[in-house]
Amino acid sequence: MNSVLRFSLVVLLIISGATIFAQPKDIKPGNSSISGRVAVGDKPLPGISLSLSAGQFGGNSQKSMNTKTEADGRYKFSGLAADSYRIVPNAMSYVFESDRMSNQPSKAVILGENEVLDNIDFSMTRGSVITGKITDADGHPVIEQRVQLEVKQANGQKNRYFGAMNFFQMGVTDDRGIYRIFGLPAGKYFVSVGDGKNNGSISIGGNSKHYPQTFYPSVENEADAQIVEVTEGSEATDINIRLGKSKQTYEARGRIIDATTGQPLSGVGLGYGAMIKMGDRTRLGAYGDTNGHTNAKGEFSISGLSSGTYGAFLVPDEGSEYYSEPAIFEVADSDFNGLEVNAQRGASISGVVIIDGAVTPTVQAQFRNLGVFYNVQNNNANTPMFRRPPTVNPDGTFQLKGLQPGKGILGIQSINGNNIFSVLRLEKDGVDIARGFDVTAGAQITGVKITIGSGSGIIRGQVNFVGGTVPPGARLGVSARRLNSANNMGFGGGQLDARGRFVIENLIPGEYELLLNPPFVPGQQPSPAMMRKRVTQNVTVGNGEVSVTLTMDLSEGK
Amino acid sequence: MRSLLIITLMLFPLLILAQEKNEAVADVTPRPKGKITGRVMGDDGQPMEGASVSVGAIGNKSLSGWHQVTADDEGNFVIENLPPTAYTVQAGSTAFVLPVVSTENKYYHLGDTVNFTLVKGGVITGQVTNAQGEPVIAAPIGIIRVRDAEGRKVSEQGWFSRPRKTDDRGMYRVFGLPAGRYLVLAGGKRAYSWGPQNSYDTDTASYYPAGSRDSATEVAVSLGEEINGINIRYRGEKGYSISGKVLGGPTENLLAFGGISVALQSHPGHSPEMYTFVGLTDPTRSFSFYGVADGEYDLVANAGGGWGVEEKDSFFSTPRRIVIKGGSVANIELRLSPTSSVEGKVELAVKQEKEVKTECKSARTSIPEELVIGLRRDNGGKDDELRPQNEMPVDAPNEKGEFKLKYLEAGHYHPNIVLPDETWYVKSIFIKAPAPKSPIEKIPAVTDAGKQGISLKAGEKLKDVTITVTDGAAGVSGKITGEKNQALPPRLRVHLLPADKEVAEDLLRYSEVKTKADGAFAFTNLAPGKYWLLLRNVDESEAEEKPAPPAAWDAKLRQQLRREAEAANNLVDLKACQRVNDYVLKLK
Repeated sequence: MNSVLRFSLVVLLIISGATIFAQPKDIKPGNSSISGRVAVGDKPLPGISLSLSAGQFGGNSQKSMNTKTEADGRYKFSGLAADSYRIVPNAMSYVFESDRMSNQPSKAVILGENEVLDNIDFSMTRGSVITGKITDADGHPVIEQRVQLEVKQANGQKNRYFGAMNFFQMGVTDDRGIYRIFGLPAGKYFVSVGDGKNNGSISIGGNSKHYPQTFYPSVENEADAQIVEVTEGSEATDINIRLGKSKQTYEARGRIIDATTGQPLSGVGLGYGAMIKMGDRTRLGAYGDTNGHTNAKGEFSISGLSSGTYGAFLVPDEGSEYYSEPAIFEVADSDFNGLEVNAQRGASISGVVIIDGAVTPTVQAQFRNLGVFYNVQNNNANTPMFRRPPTVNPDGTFQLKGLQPGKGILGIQSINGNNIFSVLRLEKDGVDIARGFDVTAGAQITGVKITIGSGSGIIRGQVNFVGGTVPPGARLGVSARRLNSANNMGFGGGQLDARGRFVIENLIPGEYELLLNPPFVPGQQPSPAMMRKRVTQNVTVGNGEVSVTLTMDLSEGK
Repeated sequence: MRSLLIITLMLFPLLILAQEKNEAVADVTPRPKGKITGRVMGDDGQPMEGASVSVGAIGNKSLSGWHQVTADDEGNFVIENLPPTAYTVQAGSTAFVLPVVSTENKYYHLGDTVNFTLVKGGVITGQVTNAQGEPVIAAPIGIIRVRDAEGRKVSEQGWFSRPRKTDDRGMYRVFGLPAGRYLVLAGGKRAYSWGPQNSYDTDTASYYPAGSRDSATEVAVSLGEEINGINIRYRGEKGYSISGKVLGGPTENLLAFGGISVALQSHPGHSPEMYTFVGLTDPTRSFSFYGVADGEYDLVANAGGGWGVEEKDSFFSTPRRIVIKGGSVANIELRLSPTSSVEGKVELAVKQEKEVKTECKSARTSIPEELVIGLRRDNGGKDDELRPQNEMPVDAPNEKGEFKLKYLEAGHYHPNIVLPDETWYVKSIFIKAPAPKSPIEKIPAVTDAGKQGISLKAGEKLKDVTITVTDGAAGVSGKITGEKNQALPPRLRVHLLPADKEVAEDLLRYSEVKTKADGAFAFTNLAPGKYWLLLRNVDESEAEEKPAPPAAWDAKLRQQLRREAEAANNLVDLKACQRVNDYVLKLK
């Protein structure tokens, strides 16, 4: 293929699919400031640039504020309004513990009005480097092959290391077969190349050759893999891997038919995924949409499959009445023909979403972003779930189609991830369905009424930890659940910031239960004692702000 | 818009995906399926095992949008089970390229054998450092091909299979480059830079060696060559912003349309500089670009545009010229207009046996599905293409001959019809105008698009285009010869003009081809009749991969050609089916 990515507008839209959902927030001017120091041990790090963006999860760099550390490692963002912020140091070759899962480590800060906050420090360590060359069985460089890292934890567990590898094309070999992964935390790593066995990973539309997973130093058996240990700032070179013969790829051909009539379905979307074995069951692992459609005779084909077990299924277009379970097929050493995907005509649910309370301009604006989602409890059917576009019309009516039967649960979601509404009542013809309702195959359910509200209540909190310190890199958040509400469902929550603060907004007046779970460090197994720790507290919320202090005892053995 | 990505989705095959769903299915006998075969070799004569070959179907005939296979250990590939239509076939292997950059699609049909020779592309490496000489880490690297290997200007484009960033030493390495001259730059929210936020995003790009685009030095690279030391001094300048809002377009929730994107293109190079997106839930539909350097730009907004989006929901804005000089620009308004379309039918006027001998009848059974209907944009000589010719929408008609070209910008176009073999020619293209609104209104009932081309207003849905294709096509081929010992100029073009006055304005009768290195030329798919052949030099500035618009499009130039051709008087009289093979055209 002509190796050009001509970035037509269409293509870019797709790439940005994920980022479209995270709406960037403007940084509002005010009288508060955040400052701190970036250092490696005692040594200040000058010239490090930091980006600040508004919102708990930060956002688009286009709406960020940037600054650089001075000679003494200090930085300052000033002129800020009271708000939630996220600070990202752009120091890819350094390591520090982040408070959230992200490609770039960052810290959250909830800033008050006229506040001069000065201890948001970043304590960095120098990252290490693993580099080497990947060659094939004939000794030729293997180009644009992704190198995978697994970290060996203290408890012996192995975890896939991602870091910023995906976005920065780190760990992808160049035309000489050479890769270079930098900014790694000190530790013990397993380095490998190729497709894992039954790990459910799949690359849809991926090209080129498939190799069986091969570990450093050029072994296919995982037990023979050698650990590559890097210390702070060190460089492990010549971590070379020689691959075996590439795996042949095959094509699968089949049709999508209406399970009831047996008629082929033309022009319907197709997806497939890898099946993974979980105990005695086979479940759909990673899956995706091929963006292909069946032809006039309902036929499709999937190419580039290496040996393995797959499931092909219908991907519903907007307004489609169909859903399907995956048709499972195994590719051994030849093309697969005659695959048949049975599409079922799903149920439909229609109704209306009603706002209870004042319709302010904010409420109106957010109502435009509202969607109704449908889930099935205890989804054993293995049916792939594809997110559908929001379905609430400007007049509040909605219709969902192509739904799988089961015990259905309805809920609301906001397409910009900024939901300000709580569900007050969920009814069908006046009957409460908040805890789910039976949806039979192909049923056409009407008369659903979802009453929602949005309040001006705010819970501001501070979490104090006693009896120990929060491990670095721990994720901590507080969630709020409105008691005696229609469906007892939680209403969002807030992440703890660098100072242990949190804020939960848009609450309708009522009694809430706050829940703080124990610190969770990704890739680390907490002790059983720690796992039992959770703090709850009831709070009464009115139309204004309520302040709360939660205390968690981190001492072991309690 | 459907969910695009659940866990892993490679971005690789996206370019050939903009396919619509199957539409009306004609009730005709099913056509037999077939295959396309071929071989991918390296320039060292070794098979390129594992090279990927992708086949894209024109029209709505594809099984699942695209087909991709890998070449086996002998470099061979077979793609089977293909329904009859025209196909594009591309081959690639990372870091390897086709020796010649092509900006025009070549079409293949069932039964064709397609052979590729791939060559290792060029490599450019270097280091990016700041004013203190420290490495600049994880900065996005951009590379724009601006000239071909001969130094002639081409359509600028970013040349990447993947985004590249500097490593922890500030080093970068870009490979798989076709021969040509490039601008290399670091930083800036480039069109090809995405992912997590990056402090370089809001900087203006620093071009090699140390500054703005105006002061940039082009880097020449040949196939297989590695150019080292293309070190960039990173300036980290903040630049300016361009902001505004998008008017018009989809009235409903933007999510269903895939949102609105805004592109900032350099002017006059047209290389994509940056993209941004209007917030899906932003009622004001505002956009902004940051880190824009001084210079001249075109801004274009686009909504929908093929990706599973209905035609009625696709919009373009007219490009807006913006000049940035020492300050930011705000309140730019981009107004979206619906995209236009052209719909019609191909009619086969198959001649009787007595008119055309059996031996020059087409052997193909699936005409007209194997035709490719496209449009070429006529910018009236101005170099302001919105997208390269090979990205213009094309369609292959269905069994009933019906076709539809969608997602077109307003403008003037000429039909471009690619025929599946040499037996056919395009006889006429007519547009039946809509019925007059009142009896007094005088509108010609029919427009001759073969003469006048097709003018599309924004949002115009043109229907009733009838393309008549008939068999018995003629052809003429031959060679240019000079006087004794006279070397042929390296680049010559042969123009073919109708000698009959009655068809002097029919652009379908005009044709032009570049001669091969040995002076050979060939014209096919010609209507029978009298023609003049005229030899001309190719303009020195014209790049092989960016041909000048056909000379006949310009009325003045056409008259000039006719005068020259009449004077040169290289006349050939072609009967139906006739092939004149040894025409000798003397170099004067």
